[in-house]
Amino acid sequence: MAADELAAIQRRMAGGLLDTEADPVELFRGPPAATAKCLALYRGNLTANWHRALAGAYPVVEALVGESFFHALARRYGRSHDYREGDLNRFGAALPDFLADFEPLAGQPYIGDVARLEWALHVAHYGSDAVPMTLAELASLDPQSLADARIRLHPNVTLVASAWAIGRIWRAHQPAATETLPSDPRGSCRLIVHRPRWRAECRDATGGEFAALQSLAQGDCLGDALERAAAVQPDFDPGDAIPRWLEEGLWLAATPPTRQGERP
Amino acid sequence: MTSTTGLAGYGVGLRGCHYRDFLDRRPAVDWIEVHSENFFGDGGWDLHVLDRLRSHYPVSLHGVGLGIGSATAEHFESHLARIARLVARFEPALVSEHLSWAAIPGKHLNDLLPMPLTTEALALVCERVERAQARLGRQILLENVSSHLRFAADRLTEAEFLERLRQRTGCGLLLDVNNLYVNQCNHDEDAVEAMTALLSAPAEIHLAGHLVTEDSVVDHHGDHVAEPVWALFREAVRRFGEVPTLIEWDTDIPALEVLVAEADKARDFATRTLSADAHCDGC
Repeated sequence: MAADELAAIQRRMAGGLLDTEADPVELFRGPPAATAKCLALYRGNLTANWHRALAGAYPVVEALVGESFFHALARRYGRSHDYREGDLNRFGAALPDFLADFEPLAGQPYIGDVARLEWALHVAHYGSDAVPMTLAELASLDPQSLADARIRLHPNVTLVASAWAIGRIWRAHQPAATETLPSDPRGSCRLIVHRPRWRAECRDATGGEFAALQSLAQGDCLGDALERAAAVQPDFDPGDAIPRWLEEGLWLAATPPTRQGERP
Repeated sequence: MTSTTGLAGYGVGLRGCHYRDFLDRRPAVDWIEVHSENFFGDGGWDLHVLDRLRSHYPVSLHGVGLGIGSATAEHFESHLARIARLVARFEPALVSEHLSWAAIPGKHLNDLLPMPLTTEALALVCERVERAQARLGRQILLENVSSHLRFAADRLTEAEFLERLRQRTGCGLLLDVNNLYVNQCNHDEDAVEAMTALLSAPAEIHLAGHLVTEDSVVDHHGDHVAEPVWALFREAVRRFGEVPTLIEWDTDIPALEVLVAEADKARDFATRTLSADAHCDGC
């Protein structure tokens, strides 16, 4: 076997499985017709793996479009998306953008935003265990310089805004849902995705909350962020909002406690 | 190089649907095996569960995504670095990978694709195994895979390939008895002959269910271990003695009790095989 023949065999087999070239039946032992059937089994495996990976991250999208449509979507996405990782946990990262241009779903434009929400929840599920800021830590900061403090959001927090009622749509699909699927998907919403402990969640944010957290995420100091909130929501009360955010773990601890034996 | 130690008996694959059962009831299995890639996140529930369980069970890390035999090395180092992070955190008793390929330049296919069994492929896999063992500072095991196809270019059997790999790199062997049976059906390769090609005991054995279809036997890990596979397991125990043995179940996963009962069945099979052979010594 000449050098590089291994690479050539693998490239050709992959080409057959991805349908970018004809089945390379001559690479294999056995009659061509039987080989073609076996290549079809591998091709089916690829789609099944893509489908399973996407269904794990996007259960609501799958429920909205139906299983067989989702299967075909997984095949189209898997073939066109050049995924380079050996683990499938991040396979779906590009699906929201893919859906935005996916012609067969042009009549349901809110599905792309549902996907963005589900991806944020998926990322939070596998995200960092970094310690959030507590009320005690906030109280220990110098009140004189609090307005200038640069608060960082916890890495598992994502702010999702949509022109569609994606929060209601998502909640209607949860186990033990108390809301039903809205008959009209229109209606904008602003959502905070976070992971209080082990289960990623999302909740509706007020306009003021959303503006303040977005401002902090952009690197503004706390004083500016609260001013932005008051500008969009005159009755915004930081005295209510901040303790709630800390309770939910939305802010990252400013001085993470060092583990024993770890260098400062 | 650190050799493989610290794990014996009969284990089951730990899957997400059984986390709660494991945490609450600590089922009587000797060890657990996880798919390494399910723990590649930075944090969260999966890692938390494994953190808790590792103080009660020896852990085996079983990789499904490295694609160690891919001619392209594009994905190799970054994937290995993430396995290394898990090895440092969980100090597993075993670390294993599959004898398979998965990627071409620019694209990962996320499957366990069969290797062309050639000397060129052997040289490549030897080099990768050595890199992996150097990076992880320990021995890894390589597992034989099931396949629907064999390459015209093949010059070795899979067992010969793995034995040469083991001799050259000092890696261990993870013998999947179900895969031997599936390949016996699909390629007319004698499973007992494959065991005969092995010069010493494997470091681990896998048992799982398969699915017989019109076109091929599929290693789907979705059923009880089949009778002919138990017969081959008995043959393996006769040849190699008791080896750490795992029940794998990945599709249509039943209640945990079913998996634990299957692990107990493997233990009984091994015990009865060894005692029957001992009684037969003089016959």
